[in-house]
Amino acid sequence: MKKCKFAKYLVDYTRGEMPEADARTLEIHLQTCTSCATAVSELRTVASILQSRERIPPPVELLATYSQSLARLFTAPRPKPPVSERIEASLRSFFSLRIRLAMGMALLFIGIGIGYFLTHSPQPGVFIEPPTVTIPWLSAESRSISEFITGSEIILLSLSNLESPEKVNPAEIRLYQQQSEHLVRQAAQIRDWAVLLNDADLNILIIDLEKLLLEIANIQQNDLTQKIIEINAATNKLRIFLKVAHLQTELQRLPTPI
Amino acid sequence: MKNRDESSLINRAKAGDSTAYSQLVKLYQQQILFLIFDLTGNYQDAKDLAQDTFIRAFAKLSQFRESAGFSTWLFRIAVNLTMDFHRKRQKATIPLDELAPDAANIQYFADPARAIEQQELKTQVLKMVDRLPFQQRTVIVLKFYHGKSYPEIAQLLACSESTIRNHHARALEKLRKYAMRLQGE
Repeated sequence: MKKCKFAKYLVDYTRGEMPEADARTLEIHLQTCTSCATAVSELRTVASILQSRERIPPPVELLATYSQSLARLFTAPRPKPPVSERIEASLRSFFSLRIRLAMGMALLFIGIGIGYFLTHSPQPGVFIEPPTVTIPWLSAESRSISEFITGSEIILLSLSNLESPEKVNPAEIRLYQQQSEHLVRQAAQIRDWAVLLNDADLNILIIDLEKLLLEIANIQQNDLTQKIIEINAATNKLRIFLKVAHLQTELQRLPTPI
Repeated sequence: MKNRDESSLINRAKAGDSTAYSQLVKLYQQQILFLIFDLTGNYQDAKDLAQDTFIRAFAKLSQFRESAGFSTWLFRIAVNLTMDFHRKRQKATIPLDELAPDAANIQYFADPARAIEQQELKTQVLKMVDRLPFQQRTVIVLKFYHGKSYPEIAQLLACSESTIRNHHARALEKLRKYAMRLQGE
């Protein structure tokens, strides 16, 4: 069916954005053209549907956690308590039940170790593998954040150390892409944890890293040189934050007092 | 009065007062959450992106110029972050011309005895808004759900007003055609 020549003006007419004289002409046309009249009525129906739309309310729990995490993020830091109180608190936490229990366990293991060493003296020259110590209350979240930052840093530094990007082996680039994709997949979770650590700078750093990783994941061989220059510039800006972030996440690894 | 208070909060926040910024956050947290929900259709994603919006805004507060209006500036950050998120997801946008109504609805509409009720049509049309290309959807969301004017949307999306009008007209036309097809079947 041939399209009416007035059809292209119908949206403007419905929006009330036509000069009055043109609108009059169109109205006369609408009295005789059924397809245009129907289209105008349909456009009005669609507009009224959109205007009367009611939003599904958010789940109450989600709204609560959203408000709480925003409040946590941007509430002013509390003033530090006096030094005497801080020392007292550290001592209290130092001698907390968890620490005392851990110290007891450590002493027990040391005792068992010494006993074993005395009864099973090693042959000279035999290397004894040091035992791996895992402290159960280390924060898994801060460890993951730290690993995410370190992983990103390794990729960024490896890329910035490429001497001649145009000669680089495509397989190597593919490897960086895969690693970046892997980290990007973790980023949302990492961001959530960073929010829990109540550290806005860390959160921004993770968002910036995520953007860079995404760029790397989508990097093309032909624009490699240019992209690497951009990534280097961004990495240099981030470097100081990376150091601070490492320090912060290391601090977060410290046992929390009961 | 509200503007003066807001302006004073912005100045204090720029000077590093995080309490002032937290008050600004309180003023806009719901609007931003709803805006992003309207664009993503998912409250969990909206929550994450809204948090990112306020973090990003806090980091870039020194770059904010009062001429734009704080809410417009905040909306722009939210829309840009949502756009990035949308790109990452690579959510396929199916051209509406190729889009068939849901299978359940085909059965429903195939029965000529049961005409499409207004409520059904409404539900379907609103669902289709989510399938529009991102720019068109953003214009529809800002215009109809958030009551923004064309100049405001243009400023917010850093486009010309005529581009916004074009997006708006195309989106309406697509939705009309879709609604027409639903009614015809």
